[in-house]
Amino acid sequence: VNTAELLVDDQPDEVETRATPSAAGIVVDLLCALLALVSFAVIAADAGTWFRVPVVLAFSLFVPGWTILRAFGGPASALGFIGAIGLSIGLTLLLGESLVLFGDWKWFPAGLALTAGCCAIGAATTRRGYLGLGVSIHELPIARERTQSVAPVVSACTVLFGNVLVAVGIRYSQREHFGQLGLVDVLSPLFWAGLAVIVAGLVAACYHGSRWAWLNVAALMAALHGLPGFLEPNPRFSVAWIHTGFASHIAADGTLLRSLDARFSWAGFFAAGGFVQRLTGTESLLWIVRYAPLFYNGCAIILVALLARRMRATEMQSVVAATLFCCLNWIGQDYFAPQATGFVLYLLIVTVVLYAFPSDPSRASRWIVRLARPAEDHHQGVGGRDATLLIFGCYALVVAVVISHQLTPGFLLSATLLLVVVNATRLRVFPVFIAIVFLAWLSFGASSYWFGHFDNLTGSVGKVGSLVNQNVGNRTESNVVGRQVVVASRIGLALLAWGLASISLVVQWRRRSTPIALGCLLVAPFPLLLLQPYGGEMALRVCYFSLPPACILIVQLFVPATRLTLRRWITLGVAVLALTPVFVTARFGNESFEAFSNDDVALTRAIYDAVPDRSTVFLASQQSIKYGQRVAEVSFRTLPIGTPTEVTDALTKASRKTHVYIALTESQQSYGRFSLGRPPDWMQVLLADLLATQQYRVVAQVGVNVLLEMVPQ
Amino acid sequence: VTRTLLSAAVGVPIALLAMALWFLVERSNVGVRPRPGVTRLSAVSVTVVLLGLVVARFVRYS
Repeated sequence: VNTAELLVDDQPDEVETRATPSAAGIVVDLLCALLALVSFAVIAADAGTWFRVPVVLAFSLFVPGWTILRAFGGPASALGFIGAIGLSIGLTLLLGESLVLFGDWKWFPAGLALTAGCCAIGAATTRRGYLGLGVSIHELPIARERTQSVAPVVSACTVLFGNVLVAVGIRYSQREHFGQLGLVDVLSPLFWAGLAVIVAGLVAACYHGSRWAWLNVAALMAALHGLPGFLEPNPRFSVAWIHTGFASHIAADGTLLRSLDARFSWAGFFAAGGFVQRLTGTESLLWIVRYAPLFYNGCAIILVALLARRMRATEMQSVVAATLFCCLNWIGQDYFAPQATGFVLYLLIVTVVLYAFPSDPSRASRWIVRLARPAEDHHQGVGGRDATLLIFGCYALVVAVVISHQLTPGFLLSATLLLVVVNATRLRVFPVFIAIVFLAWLSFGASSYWFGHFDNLTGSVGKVGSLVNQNVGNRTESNVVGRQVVVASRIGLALLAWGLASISLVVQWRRRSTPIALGCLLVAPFPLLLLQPYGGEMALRVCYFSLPPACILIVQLFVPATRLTLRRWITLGVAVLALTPVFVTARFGNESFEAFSNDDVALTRAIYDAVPDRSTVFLASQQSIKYGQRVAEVSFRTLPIGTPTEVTDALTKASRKTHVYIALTESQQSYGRFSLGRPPDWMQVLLADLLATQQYRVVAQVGVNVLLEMVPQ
Repeated sequence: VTRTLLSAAVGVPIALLAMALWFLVERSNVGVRPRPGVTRLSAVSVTVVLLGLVVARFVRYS
């Protein structure tokens, strides 16, 4: 609630260029210095205490950035808080990659130096702030109540009651073995009742214009995006397991396996993960996977709200924009992954650029003004030393983004280029800098990715038909009815967001008040569709990066800045509530094969217990847990298609080089059944056929999950 | 000679120099002082050299 108060206190027209000593800021300075001190102690002593993980994680995600911001006089505002998180993440990415490339993976002295430095600088900042404040610590106001209203009580009660209903609903939902529609098939009615209560509280708080509405937004976000984390017995999604395996490999060895996977050429995220894993003293980062979507979406909704406020949205408009983002973000890229981190940093960079470096009216092109009819922008940015520091911070974040993910720099380049061209910012060479860093990294840092096959990288440029087919056609070709419903709900939500946002742009253009920066951010991702199919995922990424501006534009269309009647708020509440089942269908429609049962996890343990180094495990589909451990020693391949004899012949060739195993799992069975339309017992038939060749023996069996070893004849 | 010229040992320092120069250009863009023509010219020159190296690497090693 305190953060929410700071959020709504950020007035778009008043940028706090220098930090005025504030009580909240000093309290946070002190807490950060203490966190750094405790982190230093537990890392130095290699303590196995229960609080090491939460303390060091909180330190890694917040303290370095906050320490730097405050040391240079950054304000204790919402933008300051979220900027500290972004800067901390960026620093960890840069530090992790540097340790791997140049530092001989000396994570221990690096961790000690980082925590000690933050502690010393934080203590100095606290002392300076305390002396500047000139009040007793006992007088520090922590929270204040501005209005006499029932809204806080209603908001708190609805969140409490709604959360209880959601928790009980999850308790009485089926926790494994989902159906064609994924989670929406199995959720108890109590879960939906809980959501209705939370949304009702949101409507009441918005009607009263209370900032307590943020509490309901946070509860709605937790209920929707934390759902699989709360419901399922194990962390979900095979790619997230792979990412923890990559981070574990770096944590243990401090090396990059560039020949194994292209992602090791952009390893900033995994190196940072390995660094945090060593600092927290854990064996793996699987414990992060379950709740990573909550962190990423929490950051994203704060940034959406700040961006909305910069675009002159009222407090309640920014609340609705954040709510819409929760309900429309079905894309599923917010798991433990480089792109989720890149997305948050992208949003942060764009928001800071628009806050700190607004357009310069004297440089406005006459034809752009005539054509685009931009809204007047009287926002004052920053100058002098603050501008230099902010540019340096943004440039450092660009480098962190470039070394961590292949696609995000492209989106950032496109967005900043458009903002510069239409004079929505007074920065001029930012896109040039992004392009240089991206090209330099691609050429010198990621050369093992394209050496010898550069054509693969550029071969798809401009081939629109092929790109559309890979991005959309392949995803809609299933003949399973449930699958078609899931895909239709995804396409429907994406078209709804883009359609309403486009209408909003046209309406505001006719009123001669086009939010030109939002228009740029909305269209900026689309050119990347023409460059690369990215394994058929580019359309998803375009959807993801265009969603924040789309949500703000939709709010500008439906929620006027003036006070709304209760009936209008109720209508909006009903619309949000109606969106939630569509969202759950779209977002968690793959859960039948993206979730992992206890049997899946047990077989994975059996695989790593049974198979020796230099083994290859063949999978009937890639929807399975893989690369969770021993990334360099055990590889995974897709089982060839054909008759059992043909499959066995292909595997016999492979067995001359490695030990060959076949793993058939429940998640693979569900993928074949619900996504490819195979019979329910297809995997059992395949297993019987393979065993009939007498070339395999069963090594482990857990439920329907089976591990076979190829026996050389 | 070509291999040495196209190596990271040459390219990375040039890339870092280009990044630093563009940072200085941007800083002066948002400041109140007049635009530094020399810095801008240097940034453009170093960038052209860098792009030449990058393209040459793509052509040679692809």
